[in-house]
Amino acid sequence: MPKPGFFNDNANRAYPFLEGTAGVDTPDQGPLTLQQLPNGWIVDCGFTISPLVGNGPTALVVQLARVRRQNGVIYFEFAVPAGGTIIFSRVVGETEYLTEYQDSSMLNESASAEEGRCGGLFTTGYLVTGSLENVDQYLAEGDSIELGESDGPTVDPTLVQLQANTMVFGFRVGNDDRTRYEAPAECDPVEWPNELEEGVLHMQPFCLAGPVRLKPGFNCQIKQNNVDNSLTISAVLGAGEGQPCQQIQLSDRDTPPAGSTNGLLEGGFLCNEVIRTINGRGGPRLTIMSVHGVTVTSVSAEHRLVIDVNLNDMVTCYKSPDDESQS
Amino acid sequence: MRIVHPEWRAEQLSGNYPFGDQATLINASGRSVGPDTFLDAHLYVIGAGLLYLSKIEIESGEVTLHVGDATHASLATATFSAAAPPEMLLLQDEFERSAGVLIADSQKLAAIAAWSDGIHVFTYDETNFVVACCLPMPQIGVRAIKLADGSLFTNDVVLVGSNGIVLRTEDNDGAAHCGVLAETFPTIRVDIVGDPLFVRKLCDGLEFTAPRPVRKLRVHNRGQTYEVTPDDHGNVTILTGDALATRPALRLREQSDGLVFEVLGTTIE
Repeated sequence: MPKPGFFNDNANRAYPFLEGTAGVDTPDQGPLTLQQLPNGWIVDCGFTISPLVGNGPTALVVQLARVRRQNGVIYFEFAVPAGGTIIFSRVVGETEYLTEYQDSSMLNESASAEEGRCGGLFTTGYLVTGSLENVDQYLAEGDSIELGESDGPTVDPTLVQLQANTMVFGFRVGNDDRTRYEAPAECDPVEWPNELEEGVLHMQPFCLAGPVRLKPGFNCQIKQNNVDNSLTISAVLGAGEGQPCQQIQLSDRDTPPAGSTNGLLEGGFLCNEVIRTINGRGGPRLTIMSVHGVTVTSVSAEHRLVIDVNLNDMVTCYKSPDDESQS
Repeated sequence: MRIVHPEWRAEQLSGNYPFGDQATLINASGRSVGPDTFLDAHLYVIGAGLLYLSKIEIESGEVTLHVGDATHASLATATFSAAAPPEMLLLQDEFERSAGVLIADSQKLAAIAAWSDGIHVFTYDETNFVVACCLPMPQIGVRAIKLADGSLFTNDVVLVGSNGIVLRTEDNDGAAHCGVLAETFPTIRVDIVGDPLFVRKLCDGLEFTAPRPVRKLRVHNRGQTYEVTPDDHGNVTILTGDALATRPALRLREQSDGLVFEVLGTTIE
């Protein structure tokens, strides 16, 4: 008589796999497909899918993709959504109902290899195996059972938990590039070091996790409301650390252009490097006029303005010695 | 001889599972979800208490199942078309986060979909889920960043300073909190410093032309040449005469659109 118990029950049915995907027409011995996997080998399992995987029905699909035997160890390889694999192992002859927890391989290598990823790269799972006493009948040393054309053992979706959009792993911090000075068309172009291309994003190569704090810097005010769990970040002149005395780099790459004499990061001019006003009058167009006795002419090609005090329309008179004697 | 045990879902047909053993499955209006309509459930609603099927909403051929607790009747929902009841229903909460899965008999679900349009309400005693199906999901840590416009950000949240706002990271040197040493707190510093060439950026779409500012005046006078550069405020001052001439004939006056040079005296008529 079978012993009562959840695991014992599962040893005699497809669960934790969907009915019809495991334990189908299992032969007494010899090679078999994954669909014929003996019910008693796996009696329970469960998976928590990485939060990076979406929420749709396909995110709930976890399949046993391969069983192999190598050096006296049985490996159960599960394929999880987004291309990861979880591998559980049992020594041949291991005790019944052993529970093991494992993480998957990194999901989608190309995406997760992104620099500074904060977390969530793995799916986790557990496996409870039943009796593996009959493994010699089906799997010789060095052999494997691969997923064929037909559906292999598919884990019951109620044993798979999704976590998409349920947490914040951490923060990555960066800055949009500043507006940079560009020379007029007829002038020599500005040369920027550190391969600063237009529109470059200055991202820090690491992730901030754990108890992160926000701090108000220059001209910044941060208000925390513990009632509605909100933070309000405002621009207030002189708040926080006050007004800055120097420019702030967006990153270590943010440096002045080649040949800069004023050290400005955007490549522009200081206030005392351009004529903004003449006698307090500003531009963009300043007109210089003459009325009486002065002629103002320009030689545009030479960028020259000539102010000639020539008294050209003025009455000029002087007393000659003859005039003085007659008076 | 092989022992074959009833399959998991078939085994649950004889009881109330996934509802509690004491659940009646019938509401006050006589609407019954039946003992075998739902075959299995796995619920993980964030921040929820004891869960139950709180209401079934039917409108214009669309059926929405609501799962709630004693505090909120609708914490998670799953919607399907009455014309095509599925076997698996994915629950989501108001922020479209996964909240669980219900496994149903699609034919019996079709019978529920045939109820009259409206909201069919149930109580906890009528349709509570057995706790084995409910995974507690406490709301610890930061689950998401939500903006005033309702946008939700999860996973890796990227903060980017732009248009004169600069974000930097530094080691926190504030007071210790919650038993954690202060130096372990990573800090994001927000500096609001402006963008010196903001006009260039604002006008970029209008084919901004880089200006060529006048940087100095080069003065030629009586064979001499010298340069005049602006002061700290970018201003150049032009004077007529000098301190010895108290009433110079040459005058320079400012008017709204520029400067006017003139000589005081009688003009030729």
